[in-house]
Amino acid sequence: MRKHPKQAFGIFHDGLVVRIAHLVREGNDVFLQAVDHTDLDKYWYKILDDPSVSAVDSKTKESKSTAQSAIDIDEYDSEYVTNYQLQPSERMLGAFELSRGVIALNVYDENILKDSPGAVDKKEISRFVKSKVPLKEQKAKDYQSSIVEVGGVPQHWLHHGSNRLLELLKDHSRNNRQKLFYKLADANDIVLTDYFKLTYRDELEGRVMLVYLGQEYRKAFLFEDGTWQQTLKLQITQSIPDEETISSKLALAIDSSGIKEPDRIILCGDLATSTLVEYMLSQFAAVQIELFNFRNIILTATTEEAQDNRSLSKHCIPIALAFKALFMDENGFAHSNFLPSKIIEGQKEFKIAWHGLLILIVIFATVFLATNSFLKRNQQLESERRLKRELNLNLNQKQAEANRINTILSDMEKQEKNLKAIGTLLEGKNYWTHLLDMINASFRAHPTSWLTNLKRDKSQLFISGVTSNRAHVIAFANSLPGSSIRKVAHARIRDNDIWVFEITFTAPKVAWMEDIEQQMRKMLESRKQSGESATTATPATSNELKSVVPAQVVETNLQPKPPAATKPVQAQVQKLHLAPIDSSLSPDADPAILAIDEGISEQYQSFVAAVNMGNMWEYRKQGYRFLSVNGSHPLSPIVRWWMAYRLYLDREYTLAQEFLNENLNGSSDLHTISLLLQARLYLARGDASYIELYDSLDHETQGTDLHIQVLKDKQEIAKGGLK
Amino acid sequence: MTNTSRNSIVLSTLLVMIVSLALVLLHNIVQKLSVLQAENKVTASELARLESQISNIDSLMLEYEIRKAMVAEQSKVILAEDNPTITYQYLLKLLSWQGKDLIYDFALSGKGKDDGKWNNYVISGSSNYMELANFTRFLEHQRALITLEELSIGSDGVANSDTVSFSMVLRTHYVDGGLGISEIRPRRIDTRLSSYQLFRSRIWDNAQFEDEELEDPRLLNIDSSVLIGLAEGRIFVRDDQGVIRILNIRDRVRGGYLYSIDVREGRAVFKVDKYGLIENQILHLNKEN
Repeated sequence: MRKHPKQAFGIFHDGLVVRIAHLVREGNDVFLQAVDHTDLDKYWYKILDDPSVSAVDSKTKESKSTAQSAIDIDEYDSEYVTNYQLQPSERMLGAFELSRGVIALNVYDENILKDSPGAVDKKEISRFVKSKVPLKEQKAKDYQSSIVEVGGVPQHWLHHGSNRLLELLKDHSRNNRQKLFYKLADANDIVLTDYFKLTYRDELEGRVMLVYLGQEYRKAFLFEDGTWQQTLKLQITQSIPDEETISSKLALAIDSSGIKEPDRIILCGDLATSTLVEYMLSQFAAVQIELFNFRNIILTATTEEAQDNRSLSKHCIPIALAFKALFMDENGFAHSNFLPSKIIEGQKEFKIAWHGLLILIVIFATVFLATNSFLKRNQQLESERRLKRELNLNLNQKQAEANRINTILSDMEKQEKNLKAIGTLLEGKNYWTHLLDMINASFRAHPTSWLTNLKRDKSQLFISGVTSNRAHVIAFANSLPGSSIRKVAHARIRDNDIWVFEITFTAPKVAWMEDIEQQMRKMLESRKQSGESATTATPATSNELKSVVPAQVVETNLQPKPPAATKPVQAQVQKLHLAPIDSSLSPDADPAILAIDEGISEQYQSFVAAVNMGNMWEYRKQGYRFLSVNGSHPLSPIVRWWMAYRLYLDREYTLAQEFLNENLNGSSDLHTISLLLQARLYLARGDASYIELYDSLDHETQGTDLHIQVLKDKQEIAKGGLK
Repeated sequence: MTNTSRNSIVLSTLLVMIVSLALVLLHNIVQKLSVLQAENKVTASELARLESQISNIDSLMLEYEIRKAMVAEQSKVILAEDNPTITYQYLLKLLSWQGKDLIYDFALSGKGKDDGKWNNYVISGSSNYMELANFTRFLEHQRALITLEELSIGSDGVANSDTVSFSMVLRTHYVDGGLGISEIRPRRIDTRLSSYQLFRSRIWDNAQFEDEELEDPRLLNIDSSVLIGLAEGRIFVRDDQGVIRILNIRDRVRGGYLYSIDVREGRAVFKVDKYGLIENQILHLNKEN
């Protein structure tokens, strides 16, 4: 439905005339574009019973017989249908571009049935409809209802019956292939009183009477302080009555209705003329009488009919209809509309009722909520996907690192296994060099002796030889482990005595593992002495067939350079290794934590046992294993501290620092003791930061057992620490 | 039925469809989301576990590098694999590191898998004793884990000879994760070995002289010389060339020296070591001359 039309055509049928008014709205200004009328040659609805109808008959050229006045309306209709379309109204309507605006028309006044005032609830309306409308038409909904307020009381008005004007317009639309928009079909009373109240809203104090004098429709409406109080039907039966008749009929109506004479009478309609006003002024001396003043419209029409209020008076209702159509949704017009619901529905752009609208709202709400929710979820999904990608990437990296750790641990295990295997395989083997060295030395010390054979005889070794001095045989036997002289035989060569001997003995023991471990210790020591700078370096080929780079040389390189003038402190930093920390201060695991998980507790105890053992590899292996599996366990800070401390004792400062960093970064209970170890590491590596850290610890540990250790350390530093 | 009612029914159907579609879509997406969230939760916990596991990777890497460096420098390493070619190649390497050329026969004699995998080889030949001893020292003390299971040395019976016959059984051990033969570099061997020709026979039946004595023309061969005169503290000897030599006490001769002169008895006593023992050899004055 067009909500705010710019143009409206008010079309009004009354008796034998159809009037049209064209209003154009521009903002709040309303312009009267044109008015027109056409005369009908026949009555559309009924023939008046009054004998004066003959006047009308003279116009329509119909018979004056009273019998005809009783013609059944249906019969009349069927006869009429073929003829009325030929009415001159086609010419009038054709002159207007009806499709450019909305159409408001009146309904036949006699087709309006009014229920008793106040009976406006649903039941009463339904009852009234049932009582007035045949069942068939009820089912077809061929009636229209509106609630109208008269005298401040709501009243149910029912329109039932044909609407010739509407049909005329529909035919016109069909014939001209024009799509017309019907905005309003209203009762004359309603549209007229509404328009009157709107036009005279500032002048409605007191008793004002609006009198409409049309061809058929002739009524007076009494307003008291702007409220429509009463409607008086004027019993003027003549089609063109004279002023006297009109005045007297009005006075009669006022008298018969028992109301007081109004203060003001406003006239409009076909019969409202200046002459009538003058006459009535003479009749109603105390009453102000005037013609309807169309003060809220601007006259732009150039036709004779639209020149002034006097000529416009007969177009009052079509103007009122057009005006209501223009401002129906804005001003205080009564909410009445007797347009058939089919037409209203058919004109709706979105042909939906309130329930449809409700569903539409629900649809929109659902779509909105669903879309919103979907987008939200989708966003979450995307963010989760992104997170997944990041996590997977991270996981792959970490897994690669974890795999690398596993590989390293496995390699380290293999190395240890291989070392053990080497020890096993070398057990009781490769003693030959040692043996030959022993025998060589012994024989060199006892000249004129030589061997003729050396071999292994089952589990024993065997030598046979010759000596010129039999006492040497004893010496040889004594120099060999588990020896036994098997035979000594005398012989002579060139008159000299010689002694041929045979000795069996056991293989000498060579401590291969000790040698290997000692060598590794030496390498480690050498690496430490070279300042740990080559911890990650690959083994230097210079070690091959040469000695490891002498530690002294490296130390010489690391000697502090002569103090520079600008950096005396840096140059004087000492590198000291301090005595072990008092064992009572060493951190220990809380028994409650150990009791939680037996497996972890066992691993921890095993690590502690390894720390307290001399094996330099075992505690590292245990420590790495523990931290790899239980990195976030509450015991891990203790394990890290012990790893760092033991590595410190082994003078592996860089490695010790690696383990300690975790404890320093966190906020564990071991923070202070970790700081002490950190200070020691600084000192051991010649980092001057130890001074500040010790001072800080001195201050922070006041009154604790750790303070004693801090003081001890400071004293030891003053003395020069351990060598 | 009015248009609006019909439209309302259509709209209702549409609403139902939209609601159904929305529910299905939402259900799907919520399901996907919850699956994804659950997966992410698992991944995050796995990540946390891994993070705690790798928290000590730096120190471990450092430790590993140290160990690797030390293993590479370790005095004994097991080979990653072995076959006769590898061992033979290694033996030649040993000789080249030694700067010697020991002649020997080489053969694979057995394989085994107890105490790890190993191959047994037999080496036999003859060589100078000290060269053999040094070869043994290299074999035992260089990095590759080769155990010398047996060693037999016998003198070749030749007088004053340093050459010995020998045979040895050596066992090359190898294991997965061991070192490649090419990665093995020579190391300095600190183990000492006294130098002594243990198998040289010090007493023999035929006269033996040092080569330098044989080659020195100034040294008199007393076996082919004649004492032609004696004086106090000196003697006169004619050699096989007919040249008269004058020798004082303690003058060197081939294999010894002039020990004493007995003028009264007309003899000169030489201390000589021609058979591994120091003997007295006497030259009597030849009165015919």
